[in-house]
Amino acid sequence: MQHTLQLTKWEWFKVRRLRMPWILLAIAVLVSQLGVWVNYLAFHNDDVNILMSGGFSSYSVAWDEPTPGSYTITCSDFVNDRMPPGLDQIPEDRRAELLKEIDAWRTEGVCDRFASRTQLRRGFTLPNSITQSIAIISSFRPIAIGPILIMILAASIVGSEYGYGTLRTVLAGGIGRWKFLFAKMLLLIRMSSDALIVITLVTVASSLAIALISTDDSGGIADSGKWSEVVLIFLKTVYGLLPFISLGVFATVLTTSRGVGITLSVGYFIVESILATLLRLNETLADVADYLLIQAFLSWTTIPSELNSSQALGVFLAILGYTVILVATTAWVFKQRDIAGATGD
Amino acid sequence: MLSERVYRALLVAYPREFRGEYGELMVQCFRDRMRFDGKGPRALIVWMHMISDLAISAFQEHAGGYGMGNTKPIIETDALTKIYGSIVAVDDLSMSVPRGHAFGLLGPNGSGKTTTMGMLLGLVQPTSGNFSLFGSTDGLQDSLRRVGAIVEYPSFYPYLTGRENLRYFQGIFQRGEPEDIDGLLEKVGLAESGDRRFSTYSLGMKQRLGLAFVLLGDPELLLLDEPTNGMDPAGMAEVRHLIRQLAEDGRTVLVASHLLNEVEQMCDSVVIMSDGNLIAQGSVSDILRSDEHVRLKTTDDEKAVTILSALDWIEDVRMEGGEVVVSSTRDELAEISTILGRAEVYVIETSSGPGSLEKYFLEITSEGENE
Repeated sequence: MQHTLQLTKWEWFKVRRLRMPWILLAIAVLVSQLGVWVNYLAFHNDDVNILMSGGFSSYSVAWDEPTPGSYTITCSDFVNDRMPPGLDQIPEDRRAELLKEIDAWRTEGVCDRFASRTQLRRGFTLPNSITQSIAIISSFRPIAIGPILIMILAASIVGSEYGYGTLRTVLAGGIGRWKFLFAKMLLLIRMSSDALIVITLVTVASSLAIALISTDDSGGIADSGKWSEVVLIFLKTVYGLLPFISLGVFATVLTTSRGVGITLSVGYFIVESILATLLRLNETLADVADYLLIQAFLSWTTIPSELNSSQALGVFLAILGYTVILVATTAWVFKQRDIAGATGD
Repeated sequence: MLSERVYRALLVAYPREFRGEYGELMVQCFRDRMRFDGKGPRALIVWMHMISDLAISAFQEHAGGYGMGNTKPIIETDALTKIYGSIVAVDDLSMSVPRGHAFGLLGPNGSGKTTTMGMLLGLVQPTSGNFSLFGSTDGLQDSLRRVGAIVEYPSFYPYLTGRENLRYFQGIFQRGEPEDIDGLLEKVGLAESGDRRFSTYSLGMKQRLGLAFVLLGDPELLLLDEPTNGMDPAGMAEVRHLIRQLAEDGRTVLVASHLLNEVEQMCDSVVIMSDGNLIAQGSVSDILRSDEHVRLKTTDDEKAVTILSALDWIEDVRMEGGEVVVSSTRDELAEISTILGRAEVYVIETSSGPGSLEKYFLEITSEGENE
């Protein structure tokens, strides 16, 4: 194991000199930051004064008997599904009037705009901005860009060894085939974690920058979401990317070509999307669609989770199963194959 | 000192194994491990036996890593075969490569040299047959850690410099120290261009880097596939000299080449392959001797051919370019001349020459084709 970790270290020594990983990282960071900045700009360009002047709806009731009092509910309360304290002190007739008004809000979508602004605000304030940035990379629908990028990277890193003919040079020196492949996979896991850390840091910088440049109440630094969700989405994303790393490596080892490996693994996205749509047409098979690789990944990395605990376990096991099967098949194919010279791909 | 006498005796018996630094190491082992106090002839005999045992054990202990003193072949193949579909790339190859030799694997393109090397290095799975490295048939990966190899052409990472490539391979193979790299680059003549990207290297420079690569960690066995390919004549001579030097220092070098004169210049022994088959195997000198000949101009060439053809100790007699060519050594010339003289055929002019591996090679490979 120690030698495998050493191999991973030396793989990084080599891979960091390639342009490809840095380009892919730049794409990932840009896409993730698009979420932060688009939210901010949408929020900011909206009529800020609406919020400042209390332009969003609120409804108040007042009464004199038995003792004078009043009660006010705002869109903020409504969107967050909470009633301010004192509801029980409202006289019966006034309470009915209030509840009728709230029903009318719901029907007319009076607070929709407020809800949307709240959502926008969550997109660029910490810590939810981080959760959202990572979510954009992992499970932004319909294209999960994170898995696509990691598969391109996996196919490039493994495929270049075939292309340059260096696989022969490495293996002829007594490095075990499985060990070499495993070191590559470990490196890819490390690189995906590092990419998420970079995205996190850049998002923190973006949120801080927004806080600094904002002149209104939009730039709160840390007042939306939970930090535990950041940790959760981070871990879930790294775990969820494992089968995609395996798929990229498998496609490349199978075809001994970087280009074909990328095409095959990315092509799988299209095939699976079609397959999932077809399966969902049938009631019995609709559940099967949920456990297809990409569908499982998307539901796994959605925060807050839409899965109950048994579904979550099922998806967790499905991801694990895909990883194990792909890794085992890759190892078998790699072991059986003769290693030829440079393919030039 | 007695130890030095023993060393000299061993040097005579095993000139290659006990040459250079390992020979010195032997002497040092004796000095450290024994004292001869000269207590008469019987004691001398007893001590001589002890010395022999100690010599073997001490030498194996100190230089065992190099496999010196071990007479088992460093590479042995037994009916090694590789078939790709309907093509037999290597057919039933059985050969053995002795330790401490420069060994040539000679054959035209497509004769199975690279496939053979690939099998020895675990890159190509044999269809059938076995092979051993360092006397071991299993634990190939462990054996390969003692091997430096370049197959077909030097393949390195084009975006890394020559130095970075060596550093990377040194790191993953865990061979040697970072400071060795300067010396290796110097040794192969890349000291000035070690910091250039590999992609900017000429083919000759790539070959040189390949040589530096195989020398990482000073391995016991070197497998080089067409090591002078793409080099200019001066570079070729330099590399051949270096390979020769490596063999003389006690390493085993297996060189695959289609260049006959290259193998002739560099190697002590050779295996000749054609169409995946082993055509001939032996020391270069034996092979050349087998093709040694004398050329005669006589007063009656036709009669001379008839007379000499009747002799059972002369393998081949033929007319070639107005001369009688006899497969014979110069030492036998006097006897040939006498025999011809008795039949009143007189030798006017003689010349002799060693056989050429090229000629021998062409002859035996064409024989194979004809069959």
